[in-house]
Amino acid sequence: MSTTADIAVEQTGGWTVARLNGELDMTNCSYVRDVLTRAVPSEAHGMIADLSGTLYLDSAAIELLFEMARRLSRRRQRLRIVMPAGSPLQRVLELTDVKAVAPIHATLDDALGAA
Amino acid sequence: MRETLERVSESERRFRELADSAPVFIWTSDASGLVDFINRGWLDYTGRSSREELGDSWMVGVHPEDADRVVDSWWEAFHARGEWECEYRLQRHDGSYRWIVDRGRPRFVGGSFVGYVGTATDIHERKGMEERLAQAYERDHEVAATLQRSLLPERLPSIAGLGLEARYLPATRGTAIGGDWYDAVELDQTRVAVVVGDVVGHGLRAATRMGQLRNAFRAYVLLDPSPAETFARLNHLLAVEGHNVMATALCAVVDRDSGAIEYCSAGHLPAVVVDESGTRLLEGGRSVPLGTGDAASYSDARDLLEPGSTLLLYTDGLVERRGVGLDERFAHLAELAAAARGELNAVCDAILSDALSDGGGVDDVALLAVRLQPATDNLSLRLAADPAVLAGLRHRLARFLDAAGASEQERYEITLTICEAAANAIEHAYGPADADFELEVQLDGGEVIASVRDRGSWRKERAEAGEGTRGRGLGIIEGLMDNVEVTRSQAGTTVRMRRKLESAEAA
Repeated sequence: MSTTADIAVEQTGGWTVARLNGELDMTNCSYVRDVLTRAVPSEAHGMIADLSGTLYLDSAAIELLFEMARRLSRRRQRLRIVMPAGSPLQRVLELTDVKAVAPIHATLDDALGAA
Repeated sequence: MRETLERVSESERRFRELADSAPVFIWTSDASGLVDFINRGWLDYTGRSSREELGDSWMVGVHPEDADRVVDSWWEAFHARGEWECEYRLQRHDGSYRWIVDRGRPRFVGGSFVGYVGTATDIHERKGMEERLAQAYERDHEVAATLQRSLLPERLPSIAGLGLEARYLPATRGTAIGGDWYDAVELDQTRVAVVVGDVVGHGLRAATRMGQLRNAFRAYVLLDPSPAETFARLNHLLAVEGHNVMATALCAVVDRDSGAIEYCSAGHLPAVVVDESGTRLLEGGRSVPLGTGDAASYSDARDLLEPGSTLLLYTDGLVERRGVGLDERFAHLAELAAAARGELNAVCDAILSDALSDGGGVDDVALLAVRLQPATDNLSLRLAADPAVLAGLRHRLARFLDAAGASEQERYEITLTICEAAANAIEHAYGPADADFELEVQLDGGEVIASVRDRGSWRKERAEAGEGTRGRGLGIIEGLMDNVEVTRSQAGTTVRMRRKLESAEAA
């Protein structure tokens, strides 16, 4: 039995949208980091991490979100997060204060359309 | 009177003449059981004189290992005036021993017992052939049994929430062994495929084919977890290879969480389900055996197992008995299964020992039992300090919390918290990776109480600084649980966490 994450990346409206589907934890973080690091072209505004299909996210995966925000900001790019209303992940993201480094939107359209 | 005696002695004389020219050994005894005549053939064989063989001294030539048996059986038959037959080794004139069969029957004259008349034949060649055959038979049996065992799973997968137990008993006689198999394949986090099959035929060839079928089954069922699709592929494989092999099999894919099962029978005996309401046979999804032709088609049947149900798959050696109808045997198996509701291994043992005591052993027996374990309000685990255990742990916890009535959010948060504590134990508790840690979760009046105990000590300074992955982990633990206690000592670190479920607060 292993942790399975399925990451779908597409370029939309000048942003790199990464759908992080499945389970993300310390055992597959380095794989996710590899995929995400290569996904964002330098001309993009940045990356939108869509957590709508995320079933599990542990502290290592949250740490990865912080790390991605730092990396992107060094390249003058930004990280935005999509988390639908009522997501079980909500409280954990609040607790860890992820929004200090990446604004959280309820839908992908909101994230794409935000200033 | 005198005339009668003369007639007797005249017939005796003619008997002795005939006996002496006969190609077998012939003897007679008197009414006291002592030998009073031995023919020429016997004397030629032993190389001794008639006087040396009469009375009970003929027994001197019997092989020492056979002597007791010969003497005892002779006197037993004699006192009962019954027929006597005995195979034993008798010493020849050259000192060698050869097997003979000796038979005697009582003689009566005018209704009164006068002694025995017997014949003995040299059966040494036949006896030798029989022994060589028996040895060859035994050797084939052993080779087939060894091969068969080596081809069956060494152990079944261990799957949370699912009990699995299997037994294989080789046929006790001759080369009737071989060809039965069982297996269990873990398909994903909640489903397992179980199979029992029987290759038609016996001996080494059947055992070898069984091994091939078993491996092909494992590969195919992982490609597409449908019993019918798997059987269609196996059937096609047999048709393409043209081995002229036929096998019956029954496969069920069991979903541990929902109890849903899909199953298909390729000419095999129906599986038995034992649950609260009794026992029943799974008689759907039936088709022809594997290897009967490429045109065969297979379809899955569906059923639902209640929590706590037991599913029994088996081969015909368990139920087939000479002269007993199958329906009667099914009823008997159902009774046994219903009576044995204890631990799964005890259920298997009870069924097998009954089968053996009931004239079994003629054919192989394979038995596989699956039980959907009801959710408990206590989880107690000892896990390896390896991140690879976390995925499995998550699913066990999710299942436990579902059963406890936790909401989706609670399930995620509590699972996350316990796994963070487990990750701390794994990452920072020790140097060597081969250690383990203990985890206990219980439900007490709507409150989840969890403890994670290891034998190391956390990196206190980093944890308290709230930096890095594990520092964040501790923040999560404290933020999501109602109460957290961390106890550090020389012996290790224990984290105790509590959280009241909303469903309990509302009640």
